[in-house]
Order: sequence, then structure tokens, then C-alpha cells
Amino acid sequence: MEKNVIIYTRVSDPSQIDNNSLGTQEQTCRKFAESKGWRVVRIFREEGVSAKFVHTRPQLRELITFATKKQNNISFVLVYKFDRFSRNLEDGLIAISLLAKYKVSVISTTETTDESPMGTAMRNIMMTLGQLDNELKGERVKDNMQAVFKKGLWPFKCPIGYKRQFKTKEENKGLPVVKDPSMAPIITQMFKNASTGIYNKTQLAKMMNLDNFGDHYITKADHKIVHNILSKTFYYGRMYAKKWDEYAVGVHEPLIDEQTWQKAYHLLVLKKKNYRFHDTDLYPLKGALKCESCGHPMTTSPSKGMNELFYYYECKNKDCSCNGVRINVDKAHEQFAKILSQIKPKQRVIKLFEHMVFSEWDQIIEETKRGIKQIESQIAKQKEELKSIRKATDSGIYTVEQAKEEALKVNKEIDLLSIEKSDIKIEKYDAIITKEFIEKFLNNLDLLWDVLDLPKRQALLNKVFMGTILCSENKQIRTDQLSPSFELIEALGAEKGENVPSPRIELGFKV
Amino acid sequence: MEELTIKKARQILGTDAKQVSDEELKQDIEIAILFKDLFFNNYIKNRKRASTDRPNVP
Repeated sequence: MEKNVIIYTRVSDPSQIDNNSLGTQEQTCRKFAESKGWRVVRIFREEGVSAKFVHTRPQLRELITFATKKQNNISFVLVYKFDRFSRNLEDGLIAISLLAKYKVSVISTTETTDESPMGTAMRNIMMTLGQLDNELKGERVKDNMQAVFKKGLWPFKCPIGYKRQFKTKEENKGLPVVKDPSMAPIITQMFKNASTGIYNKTQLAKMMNLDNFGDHYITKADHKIVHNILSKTFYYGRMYAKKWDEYAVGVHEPLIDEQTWQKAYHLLVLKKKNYRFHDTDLYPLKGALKCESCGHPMTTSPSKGMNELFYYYECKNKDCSCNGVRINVDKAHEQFAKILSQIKPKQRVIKLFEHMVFSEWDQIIEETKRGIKQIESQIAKQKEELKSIRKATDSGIYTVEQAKEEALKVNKEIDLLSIEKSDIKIEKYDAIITKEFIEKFLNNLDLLWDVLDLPKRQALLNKVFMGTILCSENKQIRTDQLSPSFELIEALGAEKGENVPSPRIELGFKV
Repeated sequence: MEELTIKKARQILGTDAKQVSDEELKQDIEIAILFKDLFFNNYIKNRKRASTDRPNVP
């Protein structure tokens, strides 16, 4: 009696739907059925769905329902390869055993397996290999995405207001997202409105819709969309990846400045109604600068005068004998820079620093080499694939046209991998660069201070001065807490024959 | 990178570590780590950025 069979084809990437991968799978399965004298009663095409889970594949679920109906009298499900059916051993076995209960077997048309114990074991191994391949691919994708993220590029879906420069992934490789000319002004304006504190999220959404937000996005703006946009640091240039809990400085052009973002975020997301933006960057000594008379940390405050703001460190301890000493931030920082310019790390710290730099550099080189090896093995795998296409053509599974198509895809993959490989450069460590850094910055800590951001400045402050700088009643900045890892630069100046003024008495060092 | 211990630091420094207490060496290591991080995260990164002409981020 002629047996009824059904065919299951699947591609995971939507871009594969239009090429003839699904067609090839179907043709191969049809030829196989014809050679056995079976009748194909239905074809299930799964388009753009991963084989990781059964429950995410509507066509496979329909197939199971169809195949298990007695009146359909199905004997086999034909697949091109077992990895088309499942790339998850556990899920695959459940589906196969369910079908087996209704006397329906799953057959791979390009892999030799049968119902014998050895055949079943082979089938399981093939599905395990599919799962392994999936998992390795997943790891690789994750690693690549993380590497891209660390380079300051956004590897996820573009935030509203930005777009990719080109249409294809290949063309966009290594390029940051760019402002979407139709959306970016709407987002910028929304942040500006939000930072005024006058509007709530629903009102902001209404204003965005008046600016035709809905014409450029899948839906109209609502309070949820506004909330999501306000929560993203991406808009002022800092990227946050929730899934890895990592931050990175983006290379994309920000839509707004950090101050506006902070204000809008505090007012509308954290709902701090009386939030006043306090630019901590203006006060890097905050927390460390203490009043010499009472030992209390000095507070910071802007003061309005002559149509502009002046910023001060101030002792606000009412019981202090200093009567509220107040020092202008610029003057305080100038004096502090002088202190920094007169100290340097001891030679033993430099020696440890050099050791650490070279060890880490060695490690980076090793990791890079490993990355290159990994790509090389992928290229070798693709070359094997080319060979198997040739074999499949010789044995008549592929027509010449199909083989050309498949080979083109594999060659393209090889080209991409080769480009990826050539992009990786092994940077040998350079003693000159390290020396340059030591001479430029470690022996001139005031210059280093200038180029650091706030958290790093605070870290340096804590390490060098144990977090304590003093301000006297006559507005002089000094410290008596120098770390034993640092020394005065006097000796160095004397060696060079330069005339370095002694800072010790004036600035109050006790080394 | 494997952690630099006080013992290892003494080996690296040799005679320079004589008469230096463990506590002081610990501080030296912490400062060297801070400088190393600044070197890789700021200095090397900025050099690369300058050479590849990437846009500035505030």
C-alpha cells in the first residue's frame, strides 16, 4: 500500500526565506519520497524560526496535530536534515516519541539512519550535534556582541531616534548608529520639555504626537514609550546593556547632554519632584575637601551674581570657628593642581605598574591569538561544507544551479570570516608607549587629573591623599595625608638642575 | 589577570622592597592597579580613537 508522508522544512533566518534553501529542502525530500514510492500529502514550511524550541514553531505544532490524526494515515515525516527538525535534543526526542506513539517516524533524507538501535543512536547524536552547534553559535554571537559593545557600538535594536546607516548587516559592520533625521528632533525636544519639570509623561507623549511621532514609528507615543526613552542613558552617549549589566561609552552622536538627561530622568522616572541638577563634575574635591578647623567635609553650592553662577566649597558647620569659610572652586582646584604637580609615585610603584601592564598585554595577545584560531577553524569548517556541496552535486542531490547557489553562500561566509580575521590585529606591547605614559602622566599627576572623569578622579584622590584635603581659614588648600607610595618631586627637579620651589612648608606636607 | 600578591610584588621589586612593610606594598599594588587601568582604559583607548578619527563623546 502507498504510504502517506509529510515534509517539514525550516529556515531560521528570515533572510533565507527568499533564497531557495526552503525549496532545496522540499525538493530533496520530494525526490526521496518519489524514490520510495510514497505520496507527499502536505508540506509544512517554517519560515524564519529557530529550531531551539518546539513551542515557538507554529508549523511544527500543526504538523504534530496533523500527523497524529488517524484519518490522515501518515507514516513518515521527511526532513532534509535532523537539525531542521530540532536543534534541541530533549525537545526533539519528545516530539519524535509523541509521533512514534501514532506510528509516525521522522526520517532525514540526507542522513543515513533507520529504526535500528544504532540508527536511533545516530539520529540522537545528530540532534545533539545540532544543539551543540546552536549553543556554540549562541556563545559566539554573545561574545561578538559584547566585543562590539565594548568598542562603543550598539549591537542591539536601534533606540528610537537613531537608525543604522545602511540596510545590510555587512555594510553596517563597525559603524555607529546615526541620528534619524525625522525622529531625533522629536526626542531631543521631548527631553528638553521633560527637564523643565512642567509636563508629565502623558503630556509629553501628546506633544510628541503633535510633532508627528506616529508617522515615523509603529505606534503613537504614549506614557510607556516616554518612560522607556527617558530611562535610556544612550541618548547622552552612555550605553547600558541590561542583559550583561555593563556600561560603555558610545561612539554615536548624543541627542542631548548629560545634564538634561539627568534632570528629565530624576523628575519623571525617579519622580523626585524637587530635583535640582547638581553637576558633580564641577566639584571633584567634594567629600575629600574638609574644613581644617572642624574637620567637617565642605559642602558645595552655586551662588548667583553678575548674571552668572559662581561655584564654591563651603564649611557649613555652625559651631566651627572658621565662620563659614568659602573658597571658589577654580581657586581651590588651582591650588590642588599645584600639590599634584609636586608629587610622583615612588619607583617601586612604577616597577609594579610596568609589570602589570606587560602581563595584561601578554594576556590580550594570547586572547587575540585564540580568537584568530577560532575564526580559522570556522573557515576550515566552511571549506569542508564546500566539499560536501560538491559531493551532493555529484550524487545528484543538488542540481548544478542549486550547488552554485549553496557554494556562493558558503564562499560569502568564508569571505566574511576572512575579513573578520584581518580586522583582528595583534598589538605587540610597546615599551615606548608605556614609558610615554609614565613620563607624561605619572610624573605629572596634575596633567593626569585633567584628563580623568569624576569617578577616576575620586579614586586617585583616595589613593594619593587617603581621601583627605584640608582647607584652612585663609583659604589655603593643603594635605598632611600623602600615601607612602608617593614622594615629593623635589629630588627629581634637583637632579635635572631645575629650580623647583619647596612645597613642603607652604602646602603642609608631612611625608 | 592573576592577582598580584605581596609575595609576588616582593619578588618583582627585589632589593627595592627591602624595608618596605606589607601594608605599604599593598598600597603600592593598589595604586599600580589604578594606574594600569587608567593606562589601558584611558590612554590606550584614546590613542586608538585619535588614530581612527572616531566622534567625540562627552
